[in-house]
Amino acid sequence: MSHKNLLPDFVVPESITCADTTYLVSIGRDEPLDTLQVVNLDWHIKSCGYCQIAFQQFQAMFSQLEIVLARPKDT
Amino acid sequence: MNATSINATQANMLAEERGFLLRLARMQLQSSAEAEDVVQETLLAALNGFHSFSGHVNLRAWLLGIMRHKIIDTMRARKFLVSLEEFALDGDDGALDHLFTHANAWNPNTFHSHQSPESCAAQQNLLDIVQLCLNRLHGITGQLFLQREYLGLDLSEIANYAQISQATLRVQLYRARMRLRECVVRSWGEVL
Repeated sequence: MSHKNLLPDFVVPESITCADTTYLVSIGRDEPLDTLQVVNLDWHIKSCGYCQIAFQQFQAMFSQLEIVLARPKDT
Repeated sequence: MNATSINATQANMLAEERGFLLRLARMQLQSSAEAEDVVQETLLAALNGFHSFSGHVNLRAWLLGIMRHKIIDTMRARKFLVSLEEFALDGDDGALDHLFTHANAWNPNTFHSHQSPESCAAQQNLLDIVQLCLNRLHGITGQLFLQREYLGLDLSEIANYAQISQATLRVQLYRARMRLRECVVRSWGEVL
């Protein structure tokens, strides 16, 4: 989920919780997040050590899952 | 080339993948008989089309690609209706509660911070862990998860097929991913 350079400057992040970030990670697996969701997720992860770790864990797990299930790239 | 012209080594390679294919098919289809049929058809198609196996992907990935289409065909041939009772049996709303505090922050007492090792030597172990944890996603949640993650169906098609709302589907996919993460990350800490 590389998006940092795509964020407009005028979007103000809202405060979200760690649980919210996990919802967004799951939603983002199925469809593109909207701008505010991306900003909120990015903002929270930058400021939360637990979520930084959890985010990396999700990314690694999804990569490995794609190999195990031979998931096509376009889905 | 046809089924009779592949050599014994190639036939054994196909046979070795049968167990994995069957477990995956059983997680997605409503009866063992359907799963057996799909795997049988997949292996037969692989035998007949072994000449088209290029080796650019590994054998399992090639077989998974064949089986993906056969499962989708089987699913589309009939309706898959998820009842509320099945969700009640399968989904435990409180199962993930221990992960977060009342303020919905990660609970430091239950948070696993293990990271996936980067060494190439650990790669197969990592994939085995994901596979084992995947096997533990059973019931409706596992079915819906694989329809998305393996079959690559989009949310609207899965929701329509299962006769559930997309909101309900998102909750099930969320639960599955959280359970999978818990299992995988814990295993990284124990095994590697």
